[in-house]
Amino acid sequence: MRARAAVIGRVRDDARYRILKSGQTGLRRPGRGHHGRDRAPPGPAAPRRPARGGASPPVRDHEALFRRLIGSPNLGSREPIWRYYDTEVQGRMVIRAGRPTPPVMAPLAGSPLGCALSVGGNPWYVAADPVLGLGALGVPKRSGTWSASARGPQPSPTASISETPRTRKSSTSSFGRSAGSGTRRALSARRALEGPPIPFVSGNVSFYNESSTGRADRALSRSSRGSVSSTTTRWRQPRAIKRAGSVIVLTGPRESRLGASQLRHALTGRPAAISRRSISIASGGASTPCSRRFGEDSSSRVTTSLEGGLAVAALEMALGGFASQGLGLQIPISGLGESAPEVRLYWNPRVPPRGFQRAAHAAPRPSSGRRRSTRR
Amino acid sequence: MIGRTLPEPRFRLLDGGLALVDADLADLAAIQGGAIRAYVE
Repeated sequence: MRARAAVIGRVRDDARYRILKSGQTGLRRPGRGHHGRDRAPPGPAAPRRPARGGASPPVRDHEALFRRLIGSPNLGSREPIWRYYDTEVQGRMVIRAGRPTPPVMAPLAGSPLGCALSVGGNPWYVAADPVLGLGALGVPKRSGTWSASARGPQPSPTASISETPRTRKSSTSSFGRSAGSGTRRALSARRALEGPPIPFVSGNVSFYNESSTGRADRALSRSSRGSVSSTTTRWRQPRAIKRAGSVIVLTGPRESRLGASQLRHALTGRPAAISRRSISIASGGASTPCSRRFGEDSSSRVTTSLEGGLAVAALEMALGGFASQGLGLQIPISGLGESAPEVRLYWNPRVPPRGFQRAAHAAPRPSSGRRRSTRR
Repeated sequence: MIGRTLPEPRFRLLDGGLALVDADLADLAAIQGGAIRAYVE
């Protein structure tokens, strides 16, 4: 047997411990014993990570970043999902998948009862703060009983949250009491996750492995019940652009901060870095996409989606006009204030849903003490 | 903010005189449509 030897390291004189990979520092910290008992003199400080909620790095090539964003699973087209998978449920779908509105199922033949299933929402809100994120998704306004479970493919669990029909008792209780247990479990599940969440859910477990990035491993779903007739009339259909030269008007509030967004993750690599005040939600969003006529000259009214901000919302509208009429779209952002272009392009408007404030204050905080039950 | 639809299939995001994004919509549609791929056994 031939002996082999190789130099794998060198003794240093600066009391530092380094692990290198291809010339890059993988681990750098002051040298210390196995249990940290023999402390070494402090060395030069490692570069600090940007504070949560801090400014994002500037964007040097907007078009390259834009192409990268729309090519991500979070902002990409969902068409392959409903094209390749069976979305029919026993022939009882009133509104089928692929429409701009959430699919609506009528589970009982002859009954007006309908169940709307939304697989959208902005998971970045939930990633940043599950309690407020669920509130931003419009959960508390129904104040139903929520349950959460951690399941899914390994190694990452999937936080699946579903709503059960509201009862008289739960409708009068606070969001905190009705959803506390589920929210806490969702919070625990979220803490175990790493990487960005994916805003869709599928009944097919195999889909989790089909993302181009290989990270479609978690989802947040929501459902609600109601009358089919009221459901179909309440959710309006968006209108695609239909003719050249039409005016596009953006309405709604604006903010000077980026907030939770795909862009922040693309720039910083972190799922979300937001403060509670910067949590925002669109008035329509993925669950209720809406656009109304605005004057005689306009063909559509831009409503930003929950994810991607104005840039992606405008693209989705443009793609509709391109597919149907071969038209294009031009959006100037110079009139949207003095904030950075990436903020103007990718921020989400702040329109708290009904009940959001109540949920934010009533939702329980994880505590170490055991809560005493008031039920007798 | 006022935008306009265009007769040609282009998608533009403008900031003053600077075109932040000026791309063909067919290209963008292909990128967005290919973000999620079906699993092929």
